Amino acid sequence: MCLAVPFKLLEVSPDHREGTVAMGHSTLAVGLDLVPEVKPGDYVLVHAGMAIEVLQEVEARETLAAFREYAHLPGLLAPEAE
Amino acid sequence: MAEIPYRSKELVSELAHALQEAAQGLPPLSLMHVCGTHEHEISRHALRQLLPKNVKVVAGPGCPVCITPASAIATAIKFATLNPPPILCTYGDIVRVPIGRGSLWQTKSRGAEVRVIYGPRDAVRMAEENPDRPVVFFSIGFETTAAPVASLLAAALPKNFLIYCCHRYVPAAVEALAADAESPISGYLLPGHASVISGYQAYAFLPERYQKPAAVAGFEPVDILAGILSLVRQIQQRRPTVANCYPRAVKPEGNRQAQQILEQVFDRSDAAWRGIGILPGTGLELREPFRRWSALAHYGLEEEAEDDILPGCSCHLIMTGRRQPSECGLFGKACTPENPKGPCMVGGEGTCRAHYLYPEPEDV
Repeated sequence: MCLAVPFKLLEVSPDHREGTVAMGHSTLAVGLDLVPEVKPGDYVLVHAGMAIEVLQEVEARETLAAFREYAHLPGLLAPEAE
Repeated sequence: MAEIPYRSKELVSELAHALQEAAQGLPPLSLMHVCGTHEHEISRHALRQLLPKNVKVVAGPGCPVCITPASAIATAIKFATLNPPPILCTYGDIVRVPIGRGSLWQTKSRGAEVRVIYGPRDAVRMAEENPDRPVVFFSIGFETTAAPVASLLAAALPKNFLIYCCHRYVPAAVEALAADAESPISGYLLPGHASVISGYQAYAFLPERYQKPAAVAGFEPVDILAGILSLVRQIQQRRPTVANCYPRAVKPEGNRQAQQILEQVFDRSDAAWRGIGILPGTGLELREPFRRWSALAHYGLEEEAEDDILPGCSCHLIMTGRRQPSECGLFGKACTPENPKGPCMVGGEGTCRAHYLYPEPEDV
C-alpha cells in the first residue's frame, strides 16, 4: 500500500482540489490538496491517490552529476558539510 | 529502451567502487533502513551483492502493513462483523495479514462486506455512492498516508463516512530505536517518501543527540548506493550529519502544507507497533473536532485485545533487524506469500516477502 509513484500533471480542476496525471497511456484523477502551488506540466509524486510533492526537475539532473562527482571525491553529500 | 539514468550501470559501479574504498579498515557496520520500499528495491536489484564485506544493511520497522498491531486488525474485523454491518474498506495487503482470529479476507469470505481501495479518496467516494450505509475506512500508514487522510478530514465529508485510524509517525520511531543504548546500528538510511512530508531536518536528532549518521535516499539503485556511501563516509570521517541524497523530492523543511494539515487534524500519542511494543510519540490520534468521524466513538467500541505474534513467527525480530528472514523456521516453508503466517510475508514492503521473491544466497 505504501508506494509513491511519479506522474506528469496534465490538468488541474478549477477549484484546484483535483488533477489528472499521466504515465504512458494511463491517466488517473488525483487529489491536489497537499500541493497548492502545482501547475500543469509539473511532475508530482502520487501516494495513495494524492499528490504529496512537486518533483524538482533541475535537482533531478543536478543530483546525477553530483553523484558522479561524489564517487570520486570524499564528500558527504550533506549541504552543511560540503 | 533507453537506460534510466538513476539505474546507470556505470554510475552504480563507480559508487560501489567508492563504497569499497570508504569502508576499508572500518569495523563491521550495521546500517538500518526504515522503509519497506527500500528493502524491496535493495533485494530486487541485489544491491547487497555490491556492498563491502564489513557493511551490512538491515531492514527496520519500515513496512506500515507489518507494524500495524494485531489489535487494530482485530478491531477492524469487529467493525466488519457488526449487525447491521457497515461497509469496511481498506488497503489490499492489510486485508491478508493473519492474526489469531484469521484475517479480514477470511472475514469477507464468511460474508462480511470488506472492500479494497487504492487510497482515502476512494473511501470517501464509496460513502458517497452508498449514502444509506455507514462506510468505515480502516486507515493505516505513515505520514505519507496520514497527510492525505488529514486533508480529506479537514474538508467536507459525507455524513455516513467513518474512519478507524491507525497511523504512525516515522521520525519518533527512529528516535526510539536510536535511543536504545544497546542498539548495534551505526547509521540510518532514511525513508525518501516519508521524508517528503516531514523534511530531513526532522531527523537532526540523529547526529545531534545520538552522534549517528543519517542519509535520506530515493529508490533507484544509484540513490540507494549514494545514501549508503554517505553513511559510510560519515562514519569514516567521524562527521555525523543528515545528508539529503534525494533532493529532487525531499526539502529540508518537508511539505509545510502537509505538516499543517497533519497538525490540525491529529495529535501525537504513544502507540503500539506490532511485536515491538509502545513507541513514544509515534501515534496520530484524531483531535476533538475530527472525532465526529471516529468509527470507535460512533459505535461506542474499545479496541480489541489480540496477540501480535503467532507461534513460531519471527516478524518482531525481523522488523527490528535482530534476525534475518532465513533465520526464521517458517520462512519459505510454512510461511509463503500465498499462505503468510506473519505480516512481513504479506505486502509489497514486507522484508520476508522481498527475500522470498528476490532471494539472497543465504535465503535459498
